[in-house]
Amino acid sequence: MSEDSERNAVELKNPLWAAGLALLIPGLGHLYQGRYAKGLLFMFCILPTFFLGWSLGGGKVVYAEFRPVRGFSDLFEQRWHYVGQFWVGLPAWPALVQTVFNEPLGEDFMTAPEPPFQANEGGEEADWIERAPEYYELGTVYTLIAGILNLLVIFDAAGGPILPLRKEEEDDEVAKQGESGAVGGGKGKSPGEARVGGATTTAKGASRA
Amino acid sequence: MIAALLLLAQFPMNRMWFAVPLIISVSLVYAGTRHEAMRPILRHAVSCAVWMTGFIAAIMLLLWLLGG
Repeated sequence: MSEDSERNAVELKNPLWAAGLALLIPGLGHLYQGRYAKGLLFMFCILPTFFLGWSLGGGKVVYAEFRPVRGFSDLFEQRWHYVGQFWVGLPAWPALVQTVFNEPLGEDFMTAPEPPFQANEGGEEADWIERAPEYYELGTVYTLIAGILNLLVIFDAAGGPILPLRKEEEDDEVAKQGESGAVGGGKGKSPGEARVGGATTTAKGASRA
Repeated sequence: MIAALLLLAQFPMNRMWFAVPLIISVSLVYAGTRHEAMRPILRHAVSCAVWMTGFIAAIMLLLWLLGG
């Protein structure tokens, strides 16, 4: 390992498994990897954003609705927001489950509105929007952004931070790994290298910058 | 900066508050994916939040000028 790549390495425990956990609950993958501060930071940023948005929209803004596309105009009538909301993970997945299996989960929980779907045709969604005209859109934006943010978090769990480590971060990493080496009785572990399950896993931030 | 604040004062602030949680969480998560230690994350998050607020204020100023 060259000096540069060694400086840019962050200990990543089982990146794929961590990415999967991050997809389930924001920050869970980082907690699994022992990156507690970042895990809690992501968890306490993304989940409140999602639930605040969900609450602003009266609990109606997270639902999946994918109808057959017969023409170009049908593309604009899908619930594309859900493509972003999906990445929040478990909190948003009931909507997908009941859309795929066509079976409501509980009473009116994340269910799609009844047709007609066009707002000017007076369908159920028009009632939702009318009940909270500004907050419905705000709630949609909040939940959508929460999902997109978790996508970044999933990549961070799998590949580590994008920018190369700075001096103070490098010192923190070395100190952390020194402690873990002392506890585990390990020696000879270079900064940024972790042996997990027989495999050495590192993230090279500079290569992604 | 003062001009941006004066501009913000023209708008109903109860709506503007809804941008605050988003700016905080977006800047913290964005910075969090770029650094590993807390100190650089917070530093980057602050600069990111200032940049986003300035950008939003600039767009508002542009819209205000176009609308006026």
